[in-house]
Amino acid sequence: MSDQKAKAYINMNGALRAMEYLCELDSEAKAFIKEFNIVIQFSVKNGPAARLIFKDGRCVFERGKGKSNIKLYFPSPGHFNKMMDGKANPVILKGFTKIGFLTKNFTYLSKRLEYFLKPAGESMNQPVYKEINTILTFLTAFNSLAEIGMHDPIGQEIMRHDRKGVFCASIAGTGYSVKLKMSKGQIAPVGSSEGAPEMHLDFKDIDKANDLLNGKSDFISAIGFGDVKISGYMPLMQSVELLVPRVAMYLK
Amino acid sequence: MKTYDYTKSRALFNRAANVIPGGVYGHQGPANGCFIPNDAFPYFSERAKGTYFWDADGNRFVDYMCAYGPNILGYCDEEVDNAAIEQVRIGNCVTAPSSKLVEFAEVMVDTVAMADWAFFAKNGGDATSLAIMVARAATHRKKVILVKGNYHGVAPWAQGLGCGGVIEEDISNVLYVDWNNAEQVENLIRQYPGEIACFMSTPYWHGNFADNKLPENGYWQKIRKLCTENGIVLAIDDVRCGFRLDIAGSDHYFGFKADLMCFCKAIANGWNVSALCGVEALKNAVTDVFYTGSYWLSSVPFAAGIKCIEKMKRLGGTKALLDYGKKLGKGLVSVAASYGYNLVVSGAPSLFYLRITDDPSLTLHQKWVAECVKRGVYITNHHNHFINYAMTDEDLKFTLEVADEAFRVVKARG
Repeated sequence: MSDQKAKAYINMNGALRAMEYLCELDSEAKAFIKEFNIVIQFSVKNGPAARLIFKDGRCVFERGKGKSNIKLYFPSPGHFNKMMDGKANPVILKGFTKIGFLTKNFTYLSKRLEYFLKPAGESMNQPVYKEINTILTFLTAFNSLAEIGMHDPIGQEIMRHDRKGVFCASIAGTGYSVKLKMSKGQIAPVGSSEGAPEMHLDFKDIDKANDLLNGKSDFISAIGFGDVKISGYMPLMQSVELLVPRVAMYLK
Repeated sequence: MKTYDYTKSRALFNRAANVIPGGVYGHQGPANGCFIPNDAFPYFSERAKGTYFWDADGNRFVDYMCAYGPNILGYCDEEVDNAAIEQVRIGNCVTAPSSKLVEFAEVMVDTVAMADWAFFAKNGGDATSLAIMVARAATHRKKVILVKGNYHGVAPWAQGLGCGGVIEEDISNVLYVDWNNAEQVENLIRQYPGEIACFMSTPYWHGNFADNKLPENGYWQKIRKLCTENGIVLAIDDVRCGFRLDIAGSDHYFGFKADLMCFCKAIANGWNVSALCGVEALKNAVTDVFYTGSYWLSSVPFAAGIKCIEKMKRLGGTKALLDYGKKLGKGLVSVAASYGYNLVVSGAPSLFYLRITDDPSLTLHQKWVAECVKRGVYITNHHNHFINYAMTDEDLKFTLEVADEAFRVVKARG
């Protein structure tokens, strides 16, 4: 069973974070935000907080609270989750004069993100679409692992095994990776300054990653085929392999 | 040395993945078996004899995994197989069990020091699950104490929360302690007075991904005393170690007496049977437990088990296995040191565990193991190994030669 608070963290730090990558990968989104100079704060009571910073032609996702032009408040994790499902609206605490940005520009970007994360029809036959879908799905899924480990009750139980080290997942040839650090029962994303990871999980290429992430193949046979390579400090994998199936539960 | 090609293995895997979930699932498959990298390992065998198996591509391996334990006398041991084949011709899985059931139970009771009775099933997990049920039936208590990192099979109670298909209710009565920590056991007994049915452990800690640990002096004696004083059934999972430390049982090896002992793996040299042995005081409790299976009283594995145990006794018990394991471990450590590497060999010599300590990420260790496997010495990355009676000094020499070249290759690559 999914937990609303955990889902909120996953929606914020996994799914919403994907906006940053969308604006890197998708030429349309990139062009769209070129002139933006605005910061949106998302705050969930008893839940996560983060900002989307649109500036200098980029979209940057930052955890936590800070200066913003628009402040969106959600009185509960469940409310935030409904908003992410398109079934509720945020409470606007600041930026009433910028409502137009939310209803038009941000809505456009959200729909663009949804377009790539929810493939329909023959879109997967287009190489550019497939690449963007795969990278966005990969980043959303693996960034969500940390949130599951920290906030999902069963994820927390999995993390009690207290394994230590840095795990890195990547798709070969794309330059995209996710690094997560485990220590003292905690798991958190880390940047490149953390040093060499102790454990690697590498998808062979976009096609193989796409098959796995979209449920067309399974990890067990993918390892057998060499479509996923695992090496290094395997105790970390023992936690990762238990957290991964819970991603699908939250990000159906 | 030539390194192996696995073309046919891979072709078979392609076929397998179409009709079998995961292609090859479980501990013998590339994922759960930690084949790192996967292209260094064969996926399918074609035949086996003695201490060797040949894969689908005809490559020969000196096999230090012994099918993960069952191969104790050597693959296709003629005496054991002849006993089994003779029984095949008489009858195997029949409505009424054969006298072999009685004979095998008598052999187990005569052989295992603590055993007053024997109960047969198929897999080690059948025996461990039965042990838990017997303990609960005997004590009318629910809770079970296990040691972190031990493996007792795949029943939901033996797995952790988060494992596929395991729910909170499956494990809500399972408590965990650290290995070699009798104080934690004592604390749990104090925390749950009159609620603990069973303490189950392997005879020493032989978990994966870490050096194996023998019991500290007096550990088992303390546990035995705690269990006796508090009415807790002491169950030893001897599925992995059984018949490789002491033919009379691993509890006997470590100087204590268990209430229940679980056996599988080496019991019949690969013919499919497991056993739960127990003390007289628990015999009635077993009869209160409804536990049965279609193939459990098949007589062919019984015939094989009778012959297997008889032959192990004839070969002098476990001394040969322990001695070979010591020689091998010493040789491997020496070869590693000659290249400047520190190889740690831990656990009992007949079930040795290997770890190169120079790289904490274990990547260096995985590379060395891969080079050994590609040259015909089948070892594995993060699981203990097994010695069998068919291993010779020639196999040892070959193993050390391969280990040497593997270290040379790994060193050269930096």
